[in-house]
Amino acid sequence: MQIISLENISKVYSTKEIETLALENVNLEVNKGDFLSVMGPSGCGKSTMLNIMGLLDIPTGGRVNINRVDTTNMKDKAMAEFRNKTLGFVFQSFHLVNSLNVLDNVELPLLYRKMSGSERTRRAKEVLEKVGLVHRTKHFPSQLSGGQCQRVAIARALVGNPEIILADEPTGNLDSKMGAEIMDLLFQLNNEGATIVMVTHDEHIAKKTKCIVRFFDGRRVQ
Amino acid sequence: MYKVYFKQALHILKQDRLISAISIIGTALAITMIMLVYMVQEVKTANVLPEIHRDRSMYLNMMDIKYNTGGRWRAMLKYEALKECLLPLKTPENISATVMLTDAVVNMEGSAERNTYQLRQTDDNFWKIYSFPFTEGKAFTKEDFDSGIPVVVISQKIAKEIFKGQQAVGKTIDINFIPYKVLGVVKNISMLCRYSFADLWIPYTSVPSYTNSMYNFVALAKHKNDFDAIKEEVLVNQKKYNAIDTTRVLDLNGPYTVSQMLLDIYSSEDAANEIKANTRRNILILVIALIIPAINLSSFSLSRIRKRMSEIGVRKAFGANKFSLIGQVLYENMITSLIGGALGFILSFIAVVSLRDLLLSDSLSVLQSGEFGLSMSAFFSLSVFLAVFLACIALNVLSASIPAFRASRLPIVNALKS
Amino acid sequence: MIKHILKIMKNEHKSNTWIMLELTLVFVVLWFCFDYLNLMIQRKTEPKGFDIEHTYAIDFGIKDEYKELYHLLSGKADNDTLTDIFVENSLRITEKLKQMPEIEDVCYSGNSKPYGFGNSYYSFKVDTVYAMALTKYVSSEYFNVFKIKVDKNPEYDWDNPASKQIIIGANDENNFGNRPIDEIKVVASGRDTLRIAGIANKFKYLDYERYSETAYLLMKRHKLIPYSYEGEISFRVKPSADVDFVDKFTNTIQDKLDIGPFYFINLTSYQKQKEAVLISWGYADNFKNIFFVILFIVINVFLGIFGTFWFRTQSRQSEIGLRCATGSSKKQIHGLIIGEALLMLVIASIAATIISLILGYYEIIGELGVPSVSKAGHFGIVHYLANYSVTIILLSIMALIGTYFPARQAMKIQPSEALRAE
Repeated sequence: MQIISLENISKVYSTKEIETLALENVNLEVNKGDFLSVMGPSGCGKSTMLNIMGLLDIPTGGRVNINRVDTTNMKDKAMAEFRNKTLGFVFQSFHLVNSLNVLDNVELPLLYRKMSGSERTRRAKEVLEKVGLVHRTKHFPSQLSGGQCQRVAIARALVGNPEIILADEPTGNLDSKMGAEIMDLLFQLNNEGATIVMVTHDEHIAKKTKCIVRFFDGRRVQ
Repeated sequence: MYKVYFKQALHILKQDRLISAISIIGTALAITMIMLVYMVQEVKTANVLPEIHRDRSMYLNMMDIKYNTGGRWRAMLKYEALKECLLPLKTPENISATVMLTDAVVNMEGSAERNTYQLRQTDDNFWKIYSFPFTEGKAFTKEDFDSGIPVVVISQKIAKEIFKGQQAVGKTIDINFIPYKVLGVVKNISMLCRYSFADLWIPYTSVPSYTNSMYNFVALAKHKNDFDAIKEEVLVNQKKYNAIDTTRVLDLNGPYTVSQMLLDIYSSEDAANEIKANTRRNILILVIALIIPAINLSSFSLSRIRKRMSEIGVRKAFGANKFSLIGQVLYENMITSLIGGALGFILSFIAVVSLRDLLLSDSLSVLQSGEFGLSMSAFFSLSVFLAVFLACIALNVLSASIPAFRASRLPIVNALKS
Repeated sequence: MIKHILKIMKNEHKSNTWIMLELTLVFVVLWFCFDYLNLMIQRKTEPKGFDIEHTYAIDFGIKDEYKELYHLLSGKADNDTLTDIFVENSLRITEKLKQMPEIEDVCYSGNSKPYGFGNSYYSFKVDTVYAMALTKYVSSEYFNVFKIKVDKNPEYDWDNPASKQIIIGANDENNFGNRPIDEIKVVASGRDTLRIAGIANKFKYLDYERYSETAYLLMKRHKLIPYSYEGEISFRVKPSADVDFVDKFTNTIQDKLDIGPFYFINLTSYQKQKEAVLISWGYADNFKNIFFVILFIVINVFLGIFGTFWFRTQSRQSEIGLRCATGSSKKQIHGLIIGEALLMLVIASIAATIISLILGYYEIIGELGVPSVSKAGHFGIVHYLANYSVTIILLSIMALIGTYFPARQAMKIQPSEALRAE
């Protein structure tokens, strides 16, 4: 069952003097339960594509369908719902909120759902357990190492039990042991039914996923 | 949800201590300004002993007579105009005329030692309209007034200075060398009660040639709605009076409500303009007090939001819609506003008490020595708190909503990049 | 260095437009605040045309048994001998006052005391045009008591009750009506023609008003009655004796001035009288309000500018770290940042000055309901320069403080630390 589909997606960045073509005619289909790796050299547009998939950016041309719903011209409220309930995004540069502690950071997506405070905390702690950081709930991002921040970001993406997880270089800042643990977690989630699209540099890890898509210069090449 | 916002807001406040301090001070100043204007107005127009019916009263002190020969008289109310146009009024619940405040030489009967005090010559209705706190005796009656007998009500100040604490009622004092019998003693009256203030009160009929004196007039309406009707009746009487003798035209300057009297309207032709101008001035002050801090605060809000742009992007990415974001900004801002508001309220209180002379003196209080007797109830009424709260909200919305709105519209990727 | 700054400013121009707008707006607002204060100060420091230091107003009452008679006689012609009861005794009073060692001189006036609550205005015809003048009925000692200088004409005979002479004072433009005051020889009042006896100092009723035409007429004898506003007795006290004078006088005089129908009631210093009248005319209130509003605006402006620059400099922490790392000295960095702030300020001030001059010319500020001091003819360059200088200096100080300290703080941190925040 098709859960995500990108039809003829293009993305152009234009400033006064320059026009940059980041994506050109990209077509992609992701089925429910897939675990997809997206690979390609730096600047080839894979992050851009992931952003578009995650409704974080609007394509210059083409359509994004999620759960067979056309998201073009979707109203802000509806988009927000999607981002909250269906998608979970892990950013390459974590983007943790510096003025919130770890627990509050992870709880953040749940703030926008109708849920009691104690329920939120319970779920957050549950998912922090999975990434191995439950003993650092009161710490602030400035007090954590890069790898720990990464794990918090992952926990935040998972806390809402999203159907689709989009991860931009999730193991980029982790050592091999930690990286392997995170991949195990992702595989487990995939087994439990989550669809995962992951951008990565690491051939090694990518080979373990179900499917690889390659990009070059804004186009899909495989 | 709000607990988290609150925690976060406090954290951010602490981080940027200087800017937070400036925001709070700015808000506090605005609130102080608004409160000062409001409180000073309140103190001057609120009901206070003995003028407990200011909100229902109308006053008239000045008149204008133009003569056919070209002369013009503009001064206080003369007896003839009072008698023909004002004393016959039927619409008010009660009316009273007093002679304008004058100086009087007072001494204990037979004693050479004399002092000068403020004398008010009144009628008997005066005591029904104003509620004086008597410590001894009582006021003079209609019979006393009609017969013009020399009786006097004195203040505690005089009782102390002339009778040195002994019982005063029944004794006699010389007022401008004429003996008057003391009928009652009242507590000292605050100078802020410009219509009833004096050190001693006598019936104006006890003074020969009282028809040559200059008068102040007050009308107590049954209800505020009657104000227009009273004005109408005065105009009708004035017209009748002018029809009798066409060599002169009388133009009564009033009657006005207590807040209109504060404007010191020069003549009745100016009245409408003065009142409009005063309203414009008040609105201008309010606008200045709100807009200028709002501009400052909004530039701070803008800068702060720009700093947190990536956070806003993240929140949006995880499902926050426009309203949640704007709500969050307004809520966080509200904390600064409320702290500033509380501070401002305290400051305005301190200001009124310590700058009392500067803020409240009028020409009466400069020339005399007396007490100001501020009533604290002017400060702690519900309307004052409500006003402060509303001002805080206004400031908050004015300063934070536009930055918040603009921030919430930024596409997520752009937000994340900053 | 300036080129470098300008380059940065040009590149950053989008984020700078906001701050430039703010600076321009703030400059215009401050300009008008200081403009008003400037004008007020100018007006206040102009010579008033008289001096009330060490002067007092003395009030009398009329005994009840004489009141009817007084009111009967009020306004009657000077032939009536009954008025003598009042006038003779009144003169006895002033004689007694003149004999007191502490008192320099005593005078009468009719509704004409300085800072009195009342005034009289009359129209005088100059050639064919009427001029409205503040008209003062006074005795001849008035000029001495209040130190009003009079340039007497050769045929000066003004204090002769039979003469038909008048002393006049000019308005702001040195005119009486629309004729230069020096050229006037006679004026007409009702059916009388009055010769000019002399020219008095320009006179202002209140400190913040403009000079207005004044006319002095000798008080008629039958008016020399110190009761109500029609007859006022004032005197000047020797400076050495003017200590706690009101209390001393009141305590010693008691009934010694109770002469004939009159008895002494009160002594008021003209200083107090002035305060009271300023309040009653709404000046004190008005100026209080305006002063507070200006203070409020100025404080807010400062907080705003200070905060804005602080924020701005603080957010450039990493850039400062970078410059440190590439070898810039502390002085150079300060110079760069402060220079940029001041340059922005100067550019904004030019635009702001143009806007202010236009707004001032078309008198738009008054339209908004802001009360203004009546403006006179003199509006020279000096006035504008003063406005500009005060405004820009004060704003610069705020901007300077707002940029110096965060820059210094940023430079205290190690460059690597600063760059990490990036």
